[in-house]
Amino acid sequence: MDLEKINASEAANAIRRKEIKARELTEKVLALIKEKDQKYKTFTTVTPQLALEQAEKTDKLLDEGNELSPLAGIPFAFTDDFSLKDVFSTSCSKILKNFIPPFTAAAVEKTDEAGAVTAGKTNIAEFGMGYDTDTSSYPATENPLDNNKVAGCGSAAAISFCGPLIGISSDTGGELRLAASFCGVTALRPSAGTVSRHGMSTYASSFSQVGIAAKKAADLLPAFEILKGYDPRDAATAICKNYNPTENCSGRKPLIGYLPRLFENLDKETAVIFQETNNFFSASGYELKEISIPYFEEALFAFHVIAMTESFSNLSRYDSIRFGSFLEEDSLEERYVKTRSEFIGAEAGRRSLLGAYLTNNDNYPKYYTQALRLKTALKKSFAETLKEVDLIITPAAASPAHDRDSLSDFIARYETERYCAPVSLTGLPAVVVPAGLSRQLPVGMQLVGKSFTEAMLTGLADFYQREAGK
Amino acid sequence: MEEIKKEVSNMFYAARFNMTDEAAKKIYEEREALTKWLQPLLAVDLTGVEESFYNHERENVMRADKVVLNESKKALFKTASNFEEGSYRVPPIIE
Repeated sequence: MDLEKINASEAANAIRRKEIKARELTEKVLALIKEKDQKYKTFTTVTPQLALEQAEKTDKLLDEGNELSPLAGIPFAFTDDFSLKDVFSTSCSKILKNFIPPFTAAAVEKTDEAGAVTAGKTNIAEFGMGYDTDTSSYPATENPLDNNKVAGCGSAAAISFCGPLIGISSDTGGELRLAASFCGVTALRPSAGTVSRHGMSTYASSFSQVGIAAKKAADLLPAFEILKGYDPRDAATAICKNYNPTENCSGRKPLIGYLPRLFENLDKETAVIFQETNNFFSASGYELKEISIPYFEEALFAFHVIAMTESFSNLSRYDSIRFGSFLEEDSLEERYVKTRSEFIGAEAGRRSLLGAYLTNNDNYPKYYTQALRLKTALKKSFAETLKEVDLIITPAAASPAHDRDSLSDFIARYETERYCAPVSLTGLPAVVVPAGLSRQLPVGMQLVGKSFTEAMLTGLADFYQREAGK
Repeated sequence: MEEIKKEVSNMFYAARFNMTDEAAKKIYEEREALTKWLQPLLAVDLTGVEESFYNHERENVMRADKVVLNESKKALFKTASNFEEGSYRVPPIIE
């Protein structure tokens, strides 16, 4: 079994056909992680004992003839902003350096209930702020395809060298989707409210969702089926009580919309890839339609205004009293200030400070209210467009992975999210799938649909991967 | 420098970070860069558009008036740096 080539569904089928035991697969995966990760640094904590216990339990249940989920025995990796009881869960921040949570995130619980295996915790930007792990308190993850390039979160990067792995990561402004684009893997950002975020630390609660990464698009929907569902601990999942997967195509091929003006910002080779993608769908009998989405370009600015204000609010909980790192000081105020200054990193600090500025008396109506209004206008634009077409295709990024340390300007980094952040504002689901190579590096395309169309989006991505050979 | 520090001191106070000269200058420059970058947002005419807070329509559902603790108190308090006899101990706030 070549772990680099095989994907999660193939490995799960092999377990079900008794060609390999879950325990044996887990041992192979753990050995591969140990071998490769010294270089790539995708994991922050590996949990071999837990993984092997879970694998043995799954083998026993399968031997007894129990019906388990399609991904039983498959290893899952969670970014370090997911709580795992009794295991370091730091959100890759020094302020949570020795934090061991007394509870487990809902997403982790669900994979355990499904008979899957927790391989460990992976690297992410501090608090998931941004796509680059150079802000992590752990060493930055290297891109397994080219170690001079950014990788994004460890949950996506690890799949590049370990095919059966399923990666789970928060996706707020596109962190997981960009990582998938940079590392040549697939990713799903589900519809808002479909997957419980209980136990996932978030910096922008309006936007963060539990994202899934996998080698092949065929693995995304089974993983989503494991994770989705109502959880009273996350009020947003109340939507699941009336969850009705929307399949609006009734047997016909979905009508695909694309925005020609997005091509203007792509580098030359990437633009060619997307033209070829459109040509492929046309040749395969899909109808493509030119569309426009008012406010799409301005959405990036609105995203960052809201995200920064929510960062300012969400990071205020790191006061060193109830949990987290601390410095002993003579007064409470000094303790707050000195602890936070010492242990919260530059990007998280920047967003918190700028969030304070954007929400002061003068700026609240000017920036924050305007951003919330733009959010309404953008959602309406998407809703109108998705009456004309069934899904929208955009690039996930304007170019392949850039050189590490090449974007020192924080605004240049925010600009990288220009195709992903608008989707975050809407709460709509999105799938990223590799579309081709530009300068020998992968570039992903993003498929966006109406709420609850995860099956259609992953199905189309799977078709594309199989038929276009990507 | 003093003018810059006066401009940004409220940000540091609100966010509870230490304001050194270097930090003040840096955030002042970043604030200027950000507000310049955000101009296209301010240029959009959104008169009459309501603010949007949630992704889906919601309604308030009142739960039963029953005290429920999700996790045992003991487990939660273990993560505190100084917890004694049912209280978090903190440095003094009154001099």
